[in-house]
Amino acid sequence: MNVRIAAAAYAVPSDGETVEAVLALERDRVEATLAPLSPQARLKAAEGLGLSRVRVCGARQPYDLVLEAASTAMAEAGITAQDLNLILDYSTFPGENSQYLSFAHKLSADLGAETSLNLGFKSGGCGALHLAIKTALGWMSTDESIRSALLVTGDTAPQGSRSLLPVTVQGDAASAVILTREGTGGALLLGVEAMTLGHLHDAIALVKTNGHLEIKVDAACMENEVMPVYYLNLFWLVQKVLAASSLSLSDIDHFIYSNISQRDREGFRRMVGLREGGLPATPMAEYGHTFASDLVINYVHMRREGRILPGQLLLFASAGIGFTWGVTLARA
Amino acid sequence: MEIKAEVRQFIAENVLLGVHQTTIEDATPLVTGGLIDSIGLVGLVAFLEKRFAVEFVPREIDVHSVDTLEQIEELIRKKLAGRKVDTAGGGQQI
Repeated sequence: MNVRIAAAAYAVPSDGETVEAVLALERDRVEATLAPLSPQARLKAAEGLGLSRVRVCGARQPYDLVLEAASTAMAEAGITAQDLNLILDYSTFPGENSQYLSFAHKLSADLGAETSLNLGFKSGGCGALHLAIKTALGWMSTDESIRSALLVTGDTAPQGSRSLLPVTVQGDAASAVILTREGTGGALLLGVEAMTLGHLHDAIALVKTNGHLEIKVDAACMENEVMPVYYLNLFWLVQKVLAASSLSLSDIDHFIYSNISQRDREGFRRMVGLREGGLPATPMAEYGHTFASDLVINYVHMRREGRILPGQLLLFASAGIGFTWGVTLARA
Repeated sequence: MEIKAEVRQFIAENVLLGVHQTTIEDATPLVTGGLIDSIGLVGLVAFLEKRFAVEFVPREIDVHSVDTLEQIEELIRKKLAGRKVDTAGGGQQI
């Protein structure tokens, strides 16, 4: 099946906070989260993040950002709402007060995509983009009438839960990707692989405390259970998706990886054997970690800067809550 | 086949970068003890697969299966035994 990424766009709110201010505001929660770790691990928790600021929704809602990103992506792809056959919302944190069954249903109505099939699922945090692409490909491969799919995510941290130390600090953002099976424009999808390990579902979880949602990080689980296999599982998926296309790591022109932290990006760089500084700069310092929108943000920035040339191989990779790992391979 | 000795040598030369192999005892915690990090484990598993001609699937490896040389040896021996069973089963089917 010939399916391409016809367009990708993102939207971030204009309001922002410094990471320093976030960590100061959430000091008690951060200290409680890090308490099970060794003194050395506690000291390292906030080192090497590479994040200076995060964007915060403020008066805007994640849905407003989703609508903006979707509209921008549709304009870029040159398609109308009537062309959309599938809208898939894969937001992990759509907002505590989100009143919609899913952003997909609301988008369908607001965009005028009256005939679209509207779906929503929650899975994977930063790794969810791969699951969304794989899900859309499944629908497209079993239903010939689905020729264009709009994949969206809009995420905002619950109040007082921006710190996910020892992992990251979360900013708000939304993004949209349009997949089409027609035309020749956009990166051609070559393969998608994803895996989840359910026994690690509590590593980062949503809990309700005093009537409000809170992101609870099990720091000991992250350090002792997730991190030892974090890159190993990612590496396995990378090898699997490359082998299916008879390619190797050295064939990849651009690695598009998430913005969880600079030290995480450094780990990924070592994993794929890139030279120091081999991963392209991203706007992570300004936006923070934005869950599944990270990959879209980085892809859009690379395209804007003209770094992606026709024919080049792109490897998208990320891992997130669930615990979930995913890799997508495409040719520009 | 002296599995532990080969793995000990690989770890000392390639993962721990200069730590003499005698400092790694059979029960030394490699992962939980901080001697091998997440990236080091990628290299170790690749070595095990190549050297012992075994293949792991993601859910087979966790911090409890490769934390010590003893556990690694047990894991490899199980894989090798499983391979022999598979081979024998295949022969019977033919």
